[in-house]
Amino acid sequence: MMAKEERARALNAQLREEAEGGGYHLNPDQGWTLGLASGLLVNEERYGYRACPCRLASGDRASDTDIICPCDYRDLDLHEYGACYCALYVSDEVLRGERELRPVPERRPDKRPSPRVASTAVGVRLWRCRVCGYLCAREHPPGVCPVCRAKADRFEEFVLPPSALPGG
Amino acid sequence: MNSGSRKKPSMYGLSTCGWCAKARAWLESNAESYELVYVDLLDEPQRARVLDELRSRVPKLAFPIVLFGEECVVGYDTGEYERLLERAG
Repeated sequence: MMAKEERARALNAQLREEAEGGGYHLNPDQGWTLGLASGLLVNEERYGYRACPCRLASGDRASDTDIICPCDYRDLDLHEYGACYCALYVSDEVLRGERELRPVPERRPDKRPSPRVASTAVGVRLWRCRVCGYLCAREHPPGVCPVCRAKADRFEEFVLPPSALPGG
Repeated sequence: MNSGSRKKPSMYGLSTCGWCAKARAWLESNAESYELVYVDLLDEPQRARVLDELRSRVPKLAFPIVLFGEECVVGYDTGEYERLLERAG
């Protein structure tokens, strides 16, 4: 029993450290994140992967890659709601107490496209950190550059010349 | 607050979920009694049956789901729980 609690505490501390190092924030409520860390360990034991504790995993990793923590929806939910679906991660505004933490509606589609194909030309925006050149493909720039810690306003949208696109 | 309620609420949740834990704590403090089903702990046939039933009642499956008679609330929403619990009473 103690071993499980200790493992959850260790994971909680590790996730917090990794989040801060990558420009993210874990929920400041330690009790909340400890509970979710326990849930992640339960899911790892049950299914073999750390599925989001607030979603029902299928047991089939290939069907659930989008909900393995950190899930595919984290950054969109952080941007729109100030927290990820299970509220393990929170935004700067929530951390500073400028935004209320509220439950996040489920955005995971009931039917997901399969096979999953990353789009380079349609639907995905590219952002470039003007300070260090870090590039990422996502709907909004990250709050903080995970490489050099520059703030979101130091990012610019990176537009590929048509000649660089497939068929261009 | 809810003496003589005819239909006790039923909560469907996940044993690992933080919002489900909060919903359960709310029911613990506010409902005279309630039923609790942790869907992730059900065996496969039971789980399939429960999920089919829930899918027929909610537009999108997410947890917790709290049923108050014919009405149901998806997600942790104490305002809605309170309103429907009072109505059920």
